[in-house]
Amino acid sequence: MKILIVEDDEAKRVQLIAFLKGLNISADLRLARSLQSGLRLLKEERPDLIVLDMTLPNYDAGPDESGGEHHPLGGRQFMSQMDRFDMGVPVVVVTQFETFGKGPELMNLADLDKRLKREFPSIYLGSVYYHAAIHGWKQDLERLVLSSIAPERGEQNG
Amino acid sequence: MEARGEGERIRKTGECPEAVAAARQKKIYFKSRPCELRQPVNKMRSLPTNIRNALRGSKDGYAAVAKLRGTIDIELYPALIAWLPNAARSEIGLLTWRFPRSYRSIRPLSRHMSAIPLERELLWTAHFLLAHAELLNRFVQNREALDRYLLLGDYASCLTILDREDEDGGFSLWSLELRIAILSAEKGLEHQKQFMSRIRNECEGRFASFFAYWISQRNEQTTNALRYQSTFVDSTRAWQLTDDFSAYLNYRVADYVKLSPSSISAILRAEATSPVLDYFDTFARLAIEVFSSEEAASLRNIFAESILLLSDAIHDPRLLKLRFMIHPATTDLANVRLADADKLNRFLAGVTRDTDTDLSGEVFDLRIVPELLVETGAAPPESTESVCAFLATGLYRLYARTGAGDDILLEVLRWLYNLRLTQFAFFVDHLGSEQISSVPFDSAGSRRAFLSSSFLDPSCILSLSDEAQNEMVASLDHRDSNAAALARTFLRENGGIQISVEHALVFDALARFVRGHFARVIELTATIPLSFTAHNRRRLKRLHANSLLKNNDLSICTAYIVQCCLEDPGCVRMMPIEECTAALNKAALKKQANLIVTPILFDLHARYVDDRVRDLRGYTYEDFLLTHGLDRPSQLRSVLAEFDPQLLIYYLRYVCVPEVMQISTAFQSSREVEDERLAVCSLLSEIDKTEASEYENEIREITRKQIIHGGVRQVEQSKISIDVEPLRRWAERNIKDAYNRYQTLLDAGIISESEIPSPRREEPPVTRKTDALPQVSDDAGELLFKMVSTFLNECFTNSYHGLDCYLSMRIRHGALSGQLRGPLEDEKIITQRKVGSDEYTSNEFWVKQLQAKDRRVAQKVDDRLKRFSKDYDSLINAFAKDKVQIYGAERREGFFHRGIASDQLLLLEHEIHRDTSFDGFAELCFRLFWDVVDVDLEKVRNYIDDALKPQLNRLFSSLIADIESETLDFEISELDNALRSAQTKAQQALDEVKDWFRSAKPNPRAHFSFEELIGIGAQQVKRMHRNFDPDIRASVAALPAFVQLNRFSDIFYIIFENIQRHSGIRDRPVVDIEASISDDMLHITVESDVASTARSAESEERIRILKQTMAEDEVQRAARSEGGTGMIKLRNIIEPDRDGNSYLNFGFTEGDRFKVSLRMSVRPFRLTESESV
Repeated sequence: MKILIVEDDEAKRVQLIAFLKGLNISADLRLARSLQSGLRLLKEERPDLIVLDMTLPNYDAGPDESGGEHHPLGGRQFMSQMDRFDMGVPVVVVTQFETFGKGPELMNLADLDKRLKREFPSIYLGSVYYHAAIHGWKQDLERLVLSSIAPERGEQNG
Repeated sequence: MEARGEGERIRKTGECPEAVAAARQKKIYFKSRPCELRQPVNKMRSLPTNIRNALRGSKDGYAAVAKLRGTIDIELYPALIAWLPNAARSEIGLLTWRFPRSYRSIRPLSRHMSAIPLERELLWTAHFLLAHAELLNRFVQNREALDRYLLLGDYASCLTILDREDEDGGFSLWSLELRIAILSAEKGLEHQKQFMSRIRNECEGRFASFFAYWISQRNEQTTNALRYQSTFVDSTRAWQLTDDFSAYLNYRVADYVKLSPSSISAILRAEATSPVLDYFDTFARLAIEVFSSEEAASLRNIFAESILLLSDAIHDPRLLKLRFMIHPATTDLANVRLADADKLNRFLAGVTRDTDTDLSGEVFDLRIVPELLVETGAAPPESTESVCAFLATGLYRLYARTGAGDDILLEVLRWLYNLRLTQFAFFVDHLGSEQISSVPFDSAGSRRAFLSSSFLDPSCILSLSDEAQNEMVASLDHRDSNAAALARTFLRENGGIQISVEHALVFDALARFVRGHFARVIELTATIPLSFTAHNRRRLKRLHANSLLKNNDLSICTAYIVQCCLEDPGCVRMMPIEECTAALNKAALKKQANLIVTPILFDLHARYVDDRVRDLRGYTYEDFLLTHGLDRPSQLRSVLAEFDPQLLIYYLRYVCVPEVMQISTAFQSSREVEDERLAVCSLLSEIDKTEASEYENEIREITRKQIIHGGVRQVEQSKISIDVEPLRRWAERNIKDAYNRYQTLLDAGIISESEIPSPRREEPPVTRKTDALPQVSDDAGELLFKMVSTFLNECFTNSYHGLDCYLSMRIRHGALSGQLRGPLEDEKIITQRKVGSDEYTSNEFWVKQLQAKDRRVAQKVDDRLKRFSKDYDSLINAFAKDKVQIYGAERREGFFHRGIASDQLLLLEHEIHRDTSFDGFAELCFRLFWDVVDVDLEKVRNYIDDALKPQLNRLFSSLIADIESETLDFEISELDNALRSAQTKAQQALDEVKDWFRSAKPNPRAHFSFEELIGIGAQQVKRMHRNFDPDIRASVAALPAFVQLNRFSDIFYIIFENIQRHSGIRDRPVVDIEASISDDMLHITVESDVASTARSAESEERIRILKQTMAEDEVQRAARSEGGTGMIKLRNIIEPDRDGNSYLNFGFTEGDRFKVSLRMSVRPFRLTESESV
């Protein structure tokens, strides 16, 4: 199963990789660290599942690249681009933030989840709140990953 | 109206004859249903004894009244209100205390009555106001007079009226607000501020002071009238007020109201403790809003009864017109004066007189004069001292504009906002808004203008109901045939007056649009004669575009809007851009993806409406390219002929900018996007030659930015460095003789006999003084080892030119700390250590946010953040002080070892031949040095990955866990987000640090202009302190390009870092830089602003000691101390000499700035003749 992980936080990426490799799904992982590199890999690799961070830089940050614009809702933009190109790959959002945006636009993860379900009903599977010190994210992610393979399997696990 | 047949009206309206008769006789009016007469006010029921007793016996009379309002029969309201002054309890008395004797006494209560249904609240308001009808009638008259004086610019009379009103009706917010506006209009901001100062002194802590502060701010020239409302509403949201009080403040200060029963009720309840004039004015203004806005139509019935009650007793034209809206057939508008219909008729017919452009001070002039001035080409009023002249000029400029007109509109709107309590504000606002609105006919605005003005304007007739239109025409027939004819003309009935072809077309198209005949409007406006005035052409284009949209001709509409906006930028606000982008759904966008106008439309939206379509602008930008088989705009070069040049230029110039192009996966980095923009600018300069200089400037600016970025990268990549030339010279002085001897030994065939020295000689050469004589040896191997180890030791440890100097200056001294603290400072989660203490300062940002929730929690979070700051800095310091060091007796954890492996020495030995010159030997030693360093650099990088990064992550994890446990019951998502963002960015910053630990690469670009060197130095500091953005004013004589980037960037890095650290101005200090060359000496002066707190006896003393230390030539020791100033490092770079040719001086100036002067030989740094560019 080819899984694209789009994640800019190294520590979180390491955790996600370890966890997905530990699942009994023969995970073939592809990694991207930004919105644009994620989209490029998506077009090139045509994965079966995308594990997507919500807050992303535009480009892979490095010594020569600051990362460009930082997108607080980069994951949403990612799915919006998928919708634009009619790319029907299931997406699981894994975020370590509890709120998104600022001022009147501020929303919590539950609000964001509702919004993504409304905007991308055909690709968005759900969101997982990631916390390095709390185990719960693994169960939630496993359930969503499995539901992308066989929806009924995911339901049973949930 | 009176003259019209009563029977006819009754037949027409179906009103009950008895009811009408009763109403006439008793001078009362009706509820929303005419036959249900209310009991006349003059037959007031008395207050039942049990209620009176209840009030007398109540401990909390205020609460008792509040409760009664919600329970007693509404017909008892007048009696209850009449009885209130009799109440003995002072708190009840406050209810009737509506006539403050000073601004300080306004709204003394913070307590509001409990909520009752809006219908009751309105009737309570109406009955209360009726009790003060006499006073309010005087107020209405004064208000009318005030408007007249204002328009004429007779501000003294305006202030006299306000004084009189304060005396008669009591001080009010109405008077306070207008006084501020008048003072500002008459005497400017300074007088307004003086008045404000008085109010602050008199009313400290009172409502009037708060109110005046915000009103005064709104009046200031720099305030954006369109943003003021949202700024204020955001503020009230942050103040965490009750919903009711927020609703009141938002309306009272910023005119923001949700037209819902609860909001309106809340506003009126709050106003119930305000002066009676404010209570009345707020009621009237709210009623106007309800009867203007379509969204509030359902509330009109609820308002009707109170309006009918009040309009009978209080002769305010607003109330009369509101009543006309409710019952057109039974409301007589005869007492409302008519606008000058003759003048308007002449204007529409195009047969004006010379005097028609004169301003009489009558507000209706503003309907005609500005437009007429544009049409006749006459000049606008010379003086703008009166409000009428100012507004006429503003409107004239709007009609005559060539651009979007935002600045003009904002100026006019600001004035109108300041004068919002006048009767003419909405009328003029409607005239101005019509010129910048995308809606062809704003019926709500027109109704608002009609209701709030003190006169009758036939041009508002289109916004009224059919019944009201008929009644108005009939009424005008009896008063002024010209006005009636005019009203019919607006309705496109045969009014019997001649109007010009131009105006006829505008009216005809507008009337048909209002009736929904869009296809006909499209036909009528398909060709618009060029002879028409610009503003009428824009009106017709607006009708055409809106009709296309209504007909769902989206691609045609898109093209039309874009074409209009590009031909006439004055059109941009009048085109339905927002409506069109909203109508373009996914399917429609796909359909017109190949059209160049589609991304342009979205760009117009993003520029002139809002940024909601930013993503769509990017998608349409790319879709256009993709549908033409391209992925980069510069590739359009091959198909230029396929597109309209004007559209293509717009697309390339405004759409194909980095902000938009970054959405495309065609680019993999910011640099690629910049390079593409350069290619686009280059293409533009070829196809749009008239603007070529603009594109060339942009190319220069991007190139300059890239050079600076490249320079910064070069500096970063050469943090691990040494000064080769000075070290070579040192070697010539100190090793060459030994090398010559070594060559002699080689010539003599005395080759190495001893074992190659043991691998890695870790310890530095013994420097301790001793009486023992040194050993002598003729062994070539031993000699070679000594030469090489001495050479390498110098490369490692020379305080001026060796690796240790660079590690100190470019990594340990601030750079590492700045790099790793930067992301945390961005997120405001780290503070600084207090001077002379181990303690860290409080995190004021988060403490302030958390204190509002719980002081104790705020304190605990602050303590934890302080501890984290300390731990984080300790981690960095430990790495810098212990690890990024040359290994030695005192630096046992240092990563950089000076030892040479035996195989390395063996290899070197094999490479030295009899014909190897000393320079060749030196090159071999340098190469060996880098080989040795490379091994250590790899260890540092591994250490960062394996040890430092996990330590850093543990610090964050522990912090996040502790903060979570301290704030279990609190919403701290912002802090939580900041912590997690900081962690991600800190890891990335550490990756960048890892990249520092690589051998210096050859410079890809050898020469830089002096300005570029300044930019590179400043940029290095900005990368560490993101908010630091110095205003650099460079005055640089013609200087050659310089070759030593690192040396100069070090100079400016140190200077800018010093400014950032010590100037006391963290964000934007002004920095003046002068540079010149004479006699091969470069003279640089940097003078920068310092905060008043930065210059103190203590700082002066520090500078004195520093200078003394440097003078005593203890530089070498000082340089190793990693001290708190870069001046010593700067001195090391300049290498002052005893002759004073090179020098460094610094200190405070008489003008309280800080000045650094330096002079240095330029020879080593400039390009040679052959290298010059």
